[in-house]
Amino acid sequence: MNEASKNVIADAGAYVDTASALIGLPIPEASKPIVVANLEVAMRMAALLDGFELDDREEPAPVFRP
Amino acid sequence: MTKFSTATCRDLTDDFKAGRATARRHVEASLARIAAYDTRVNAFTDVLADRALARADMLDAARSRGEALGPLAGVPFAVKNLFDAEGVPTRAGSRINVDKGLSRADATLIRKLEAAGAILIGCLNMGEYAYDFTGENAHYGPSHNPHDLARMTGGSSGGSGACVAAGMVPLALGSDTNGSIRVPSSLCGLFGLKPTFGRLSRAGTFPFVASLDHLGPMTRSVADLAVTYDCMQGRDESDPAQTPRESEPVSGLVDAGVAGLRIARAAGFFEEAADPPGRMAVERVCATLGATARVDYPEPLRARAAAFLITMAEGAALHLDTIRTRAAEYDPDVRERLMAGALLPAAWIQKAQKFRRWHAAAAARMFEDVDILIAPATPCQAPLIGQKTFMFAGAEVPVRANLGVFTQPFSFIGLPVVSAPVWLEGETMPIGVQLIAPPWREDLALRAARALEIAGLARAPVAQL
Repeated sequence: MNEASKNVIADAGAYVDTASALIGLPIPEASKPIVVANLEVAMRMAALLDGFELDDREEPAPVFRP
Repeated sequence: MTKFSTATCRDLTDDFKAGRATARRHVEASLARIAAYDTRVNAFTDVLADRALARADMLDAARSRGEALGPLAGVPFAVKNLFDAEGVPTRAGSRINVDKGLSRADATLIRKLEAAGAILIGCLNMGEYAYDFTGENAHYGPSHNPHDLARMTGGSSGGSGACVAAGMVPLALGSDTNGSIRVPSSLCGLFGLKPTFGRLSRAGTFPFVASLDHLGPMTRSVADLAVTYDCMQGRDESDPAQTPRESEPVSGLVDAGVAGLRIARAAGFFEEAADPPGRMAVERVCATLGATARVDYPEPLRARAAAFLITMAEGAALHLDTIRTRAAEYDPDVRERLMAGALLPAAWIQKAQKFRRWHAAAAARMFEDVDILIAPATPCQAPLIGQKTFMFAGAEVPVRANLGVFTQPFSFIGLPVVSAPVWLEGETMPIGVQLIAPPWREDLALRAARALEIAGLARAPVAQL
C-alpha cells in the first residue's frame, strides 16, 4: 500500500461523515465505527487493485447489448 | 418403492412413472419430514402445502390419463426465498421486502421446473439480501446444519443447503453471487452447480449484484444436478442479462468419464491458505481424478478484491433508498456493509470492472492448457452458529466476509463450477471441492463430479436427525 493510501485510511472517519452527508445517507453514531471498519476493508481491496496496471483501452466487463 | 428422505430426484420420478408411488405421496412425505424436523433445522420460511398437494393431484391425474410426464415428474423441490412464488412475499431474507406485497407470478426457473413435472413445496431461509456466507439471519433465525445442528449451513443459500441435507426435498435452488451456492454445498455436504454467468434466467428473482448474480441447483447426486440444470436452460426474453445461447443439455454427457481431460489443481493461494481438511479433500480429489499438474490461477487475490468492491457498491446502490429511511429494519450484520458500500468512489468500481475483463482473458489463456481446475470450496468445515471469526492463513478474520474467499475469484468471471462434497475418514463434517471449467462447459465440471461420485469419494448422505 502506498503512502497516499495510508493517509486516506487515517481519514476514513472524516470521509464517512462527508460522503454520507453528500448522498443524504444518515449514519447513526453507533453504526459509524462499523461503517468505517467496512470502508477500511474496501480501501485495502482497492489498494490491491490500484497496484495493478491496466491499459487505458481495457474495456470494462459489462457490455450493453442493444 | 424408495424411502423418500434418501431418494434422489431420479428415484422419485422412476417410482412415480412406474406407478409405485403417487405424486401426492411424495408431497405428503416431504411435508411430514418438514413438520418433523424444521423446527430444529429452520430451513423453510414458507411451506406451500396446499399448492403442492393440488399440483401433485394434477400430476397423478395426468399419469392416470396416460399423459406424457416430464423428467422431474413427482419431485418436490424448494427455492431460496429470493425467488418469486405466486402468492408469497419475496422476502430475500428481509422483513422490509414483506411490505412489497405478494408475488403475482412464479420466477422463470420455478416455472421451468414445474413444466418438467417438479412440485414447488416451499421457500427457504437465507442470509438477508444474500449479503452473507453464514446462513444466519437476524429476522428468521439461523438455518442449522443438519449434520450438526450447532453449526452453520453456510450462506447465503442456507435454507437450500439445510433442506436437501435434511432429506426434506431432493432438490433446492439457490443463488450465487460470490459463492452462495458453493459455500452451503460445502458445509452441508451437497452437490451444487453454479452455471456460467448468463446461462440461466434470473427473471423473477430479487437481485443482489447485477454484475455477479447467478442461480443454480443443489442436490444429493450428480445426475440430479444435471437433469435439473437441463430443465432450467433456455432463452428467456424477460432476463436482459441472460446470454443469448441455445440450450446445451448435459444429462447424457456426465457419465463420459474423465479420460483424456486435462485436470490440474490451483496452486499458490488455494493450496497454502486452505486448512488441513480442505487440503486433504483436494489431495484426495486429485488422486482420484489422476490430476498431478498444478497451475497458477491468475491474480486470485485481486479477483477477490474486485468482486468484493463490485458487490459492496452494487449491493449498496440497490438498497440506498431504503437504507436512508429504514436502516433500523436491516439485519445489523448487513446494514453497515451496505452503508459503507454506498460511499465507495466510482473509480474503484470502474477499475474493478476493467480488471474483470482482463482477468477473464487471463483465465481463458490458462484454460488453453486445462479442462478442469480443482480448488477447495471453503477455507474450513462448518463453523459454529454465532462464531464471528476463524483462523485463515495465520490470521483471525471475520467469518461472514471470508467463508467465500475461495469461491469469489471464480464467480467473479462467471466460470461454471460444481462443488463436490467430500467426507474424509474420521471427520464428522463434510467439505466441498470446486471443479471449475471454462465458460459454457458445465458438462466438464459435471463429468468430473460424476467420476468422483462413482469412485465413492464425493457423496451426499442425508443427515441423521
